[in-house]
Amino acid sequence: MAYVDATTASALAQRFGVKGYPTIKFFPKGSTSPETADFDGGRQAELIVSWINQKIGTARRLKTVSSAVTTLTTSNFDAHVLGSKAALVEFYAPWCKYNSYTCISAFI
Amino acid sequence: MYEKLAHVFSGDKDVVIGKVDATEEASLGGRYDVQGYPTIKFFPANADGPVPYEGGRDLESLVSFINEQTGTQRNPDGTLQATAGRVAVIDSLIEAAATEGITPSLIVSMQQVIDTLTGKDLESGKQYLLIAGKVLSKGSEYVAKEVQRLSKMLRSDSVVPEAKTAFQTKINILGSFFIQKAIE
Repeated sequence: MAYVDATTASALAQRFGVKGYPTIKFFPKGSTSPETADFDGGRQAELIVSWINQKIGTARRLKTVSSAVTTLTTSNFDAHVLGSKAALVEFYAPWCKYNSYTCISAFI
Repeated sequence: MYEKLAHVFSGDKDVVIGKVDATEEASLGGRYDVQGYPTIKFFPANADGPVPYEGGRDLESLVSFINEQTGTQRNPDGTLQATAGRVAVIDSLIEAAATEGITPSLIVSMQQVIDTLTGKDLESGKQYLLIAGKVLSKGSEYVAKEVQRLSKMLRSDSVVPEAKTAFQTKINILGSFFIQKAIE
């Protein structure tokens, strides 16, 4: 996988008819010419990964960065929190974007 | 920021940083009388119930709080403090023996001190003893070599956070033995 700064390597950009940024091209192995169809999917990494997989017959997946925060539910709470480990627990509401006890629960 | 906090303590197996979506898990919110969001509660080890957290919501305040409550020794950037693993009373013994170096009689004195220790200090004490034994049999070059070996492993991506904590702790303890090396 490589990238070209088309603003500095303008000759390269011209040679391959690059008109807008970003442009993603696939060069088959051993070829100096790109495939005619540029990548035109969304810019999410997963879509680019599937596009490449289709072209070269691999089945790679994105490495997900797992969260270090433990998601607690009624089924695992006691095991994680009331056992022999100390636990700092944040009770949050997805709709509340503040940092400090600012959103009062609507259900009290 | 909460994610960063969890990463700071990812190498401390006895600390859990957790979150509850109180809109999904209403019974949990109710159990702990959560009235507003976000609410942070701290549950000490083997506690029946929580302690409310009233401190700052910034990373530094939370890290200090957890260090105080649980005995962890983390810096806000996730690194282990340089004193983690050190036992002052053993360090003094080693310092006092600076001119003679590590001798069998020093090891006996160390063992006597270690017999009085408990918990994390006892675990550290055992490490001190192991190292002293190796210095006696292999010479003081062992210390620098071992620090090098452990530092290399610390840089590896395939080492889990808890193992990194153990390596860093041992490196901290080895630091105490450098006093010996300087004299020789």
